[in-house]
Amino acid sequence: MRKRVLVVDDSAAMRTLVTTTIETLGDFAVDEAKGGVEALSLLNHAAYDIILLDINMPDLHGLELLGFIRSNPRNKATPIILISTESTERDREKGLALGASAYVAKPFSPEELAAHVSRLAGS
Amino acid sequence: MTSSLVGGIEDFLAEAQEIVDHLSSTLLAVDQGTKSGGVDPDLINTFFRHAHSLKGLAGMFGQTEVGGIAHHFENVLDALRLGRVRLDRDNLDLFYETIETFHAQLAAVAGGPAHGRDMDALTARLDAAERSKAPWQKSGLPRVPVEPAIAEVLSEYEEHRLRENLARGATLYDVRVAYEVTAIESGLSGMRERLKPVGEVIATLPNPIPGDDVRLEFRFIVGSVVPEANVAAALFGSGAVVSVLPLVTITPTASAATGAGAATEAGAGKGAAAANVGADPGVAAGAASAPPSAGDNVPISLRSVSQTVRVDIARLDSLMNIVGELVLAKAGILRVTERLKGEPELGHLAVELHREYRILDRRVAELREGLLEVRMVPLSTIFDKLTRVARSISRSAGKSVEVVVSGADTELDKLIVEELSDPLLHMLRNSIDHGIEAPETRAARGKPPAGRVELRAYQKGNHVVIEVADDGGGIDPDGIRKVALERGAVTQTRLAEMSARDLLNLIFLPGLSTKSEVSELSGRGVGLDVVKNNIAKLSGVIDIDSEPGRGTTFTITLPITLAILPALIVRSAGQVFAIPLSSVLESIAVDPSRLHRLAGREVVTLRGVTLPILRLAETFGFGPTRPITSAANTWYVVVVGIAELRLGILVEDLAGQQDVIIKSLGKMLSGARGIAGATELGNQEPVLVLDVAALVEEALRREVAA
Repeated sequence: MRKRVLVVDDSAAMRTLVTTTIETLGDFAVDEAKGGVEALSLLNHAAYDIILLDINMPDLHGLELLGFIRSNPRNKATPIILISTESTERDREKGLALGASAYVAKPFSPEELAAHVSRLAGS
Repeated sequence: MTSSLVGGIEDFLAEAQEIVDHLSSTLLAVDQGTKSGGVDPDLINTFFRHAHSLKGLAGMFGQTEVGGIAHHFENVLDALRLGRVRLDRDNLDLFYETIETFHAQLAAVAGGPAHGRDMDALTARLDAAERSKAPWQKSGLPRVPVEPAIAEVLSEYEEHRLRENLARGATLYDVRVAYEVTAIESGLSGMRERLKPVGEVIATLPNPIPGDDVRLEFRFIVGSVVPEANVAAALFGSGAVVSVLPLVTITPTASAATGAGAATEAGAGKGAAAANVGADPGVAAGAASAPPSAGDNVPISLRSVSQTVRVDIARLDSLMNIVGELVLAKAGILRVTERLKGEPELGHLAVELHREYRILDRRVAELREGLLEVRMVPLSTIFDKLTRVARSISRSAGKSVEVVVSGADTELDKLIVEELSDPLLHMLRNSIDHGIEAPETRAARGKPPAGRVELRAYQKGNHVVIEVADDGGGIDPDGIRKVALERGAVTQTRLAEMSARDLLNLIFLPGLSTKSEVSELSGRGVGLDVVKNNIAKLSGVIDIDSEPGRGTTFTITLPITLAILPALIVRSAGQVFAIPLSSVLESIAVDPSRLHRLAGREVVTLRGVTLPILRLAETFGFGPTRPITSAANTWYVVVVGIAELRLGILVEDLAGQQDVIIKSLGKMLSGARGIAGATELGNQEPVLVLDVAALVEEALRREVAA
């Protein structure tokens, strides 16, 4: 069965990059959200198998979105990969404390991202 | 990284260019903020986010040079938004330079010439700026004193803003509101707009509502000094529920115990104690009474190196108002003195009083001058910024333009300087975008390849003149004629009899200066009419001179200050008006028989020059100018002029000269044309102050339309 993935990032170029990386891995259906608000409505209606979340977004902060996902029954247990640059170290720690499964620092190699996604997708 | 996974260089350039443009405009807004006394923390955070995005983007596309600078830039901005690096002039300059470097780098990536900039030097300077940050302990930063459900999802930056709000004594409010999933975006932006005047939105937390599939709840954590009832009133009708967010006491963690312990003892009350926990080093230094232990990186002296004080301009305004009241009181004393002089047995007292009055008069004048001087800032504050922006504009336009500045030390009222940056920027853009020709055209015309734009300023009496001159293609009169006719701005007959100057001035009419093709540089739809209105609001006048093929010069004439001005007091139809003396050229008694009509306009001929006449009483609807009753009576024509324009204002009486302080008429009348504001004279009667620039313009507009 196709795994559903949600990519949340405010950068169009980053979204394309992440989506391309995931799609080359195999049978994934990827949804993209260009910010926290758009992600909220997607998350309220669909259950995802993996969520990739950028921390720094202008409309809603990634940590707050993470808090939302963790308190919403629909995606409570979905593995989450946080994507951000290494400078926001405290944010990364808090994200992992909130139950993010993995953290990928920008710039990342597609192989690194692919490894995380494959592992979490159980394939 | 496999290159097949990475999008083309165009993808990178498109987004990187957009981010760098955002960085530029944000920096301008930040710079503006520092000059008007406060930068919105949100703006700094936006600035940081853009740098952060650029770094991430560059990293993914293997643009190591851009990424490297962006990385160091982001570190400085991160420290800045967390309050650990100061936003001073040096840093602002460094930021401008960094953004210019990004532009140069992107141009090189896009296939342009190598930029030849010294990356190591810039990196070193960015590092130095970051290292100047206040020391802090990385580990053991205590939790913020709010319920764990909130504390654990706040980002580091939000934690910092929350502490800052507590440190400034703000109350934290918990504003809850639910939106349907489809209406989240508009709901959030509407709520943020409503909360803006109330305080700072520190965080926005989404929450699912159990059993509700259609709606989500949002909690806005807002820092505000406004009482709860007022917050609730501001949100009335929005469906939001407001409560005060309780502060919780945090048990200090081991590593933070030393500093925070002292603060907790010192602070009284739960709010204060909680607020001090984990405040920034700078804030905590004041509260911590324990002597610093050896090895701590504590500055030797807390005394500030700077000898300057930043003052909110509103305070200067209120001081100026007090001076205004002193001037009124002074006028009252003078009246009493005059009355005393008439009493035979009190004559000697009148003389003494008059002597004291003169001393008071001198001191009040000195006080006023001193206050005015404080408000003055050199134009260099905006000229510097404009030259920097000009460089990046010319780069995006693919033109080589040299910006030459003179008279940057000319001083003007701070408020005027602030309001000038937008119109000047617009004119500069105009010059570079539309004025300066493409390099090939310049070569064909035998001009040097680099275009030249001059920003000149000088003082002329009570005015400051600013010129923006380019050596570009000039304005084509036929082009103006064509557009003016197309848009129905003038009739064919009127056009035929227009002088070259009148024709040029048509480009200030709404819609006339908007190019048919949208230019990315000069903005969309904002024409010179907007520039003209902005200048008029400052009681200034804009003028244009252009020679096809040789260039265009815009000239702005502005009063030095708007705060106080000497005025001529006149009467018409029983009303008293004040005319700013700076625009009065002369006043002449005229016999009504010398007034006559020419082409439907009332005019008077003075020394062979025909002058249009404006009857003050009629203009403002106070009834007709009073007829002359006795042969001895005459009317007066006050000749006013702005730039090359002249107008005669017909009044019945001149009542002398006096300093007035213009007070705004408030919102109701702020749009009234021809009125700059109101003032009081010694007898406490309100008097309208004329806006000469607007009156002259109005009169001439009628002439154009006629």
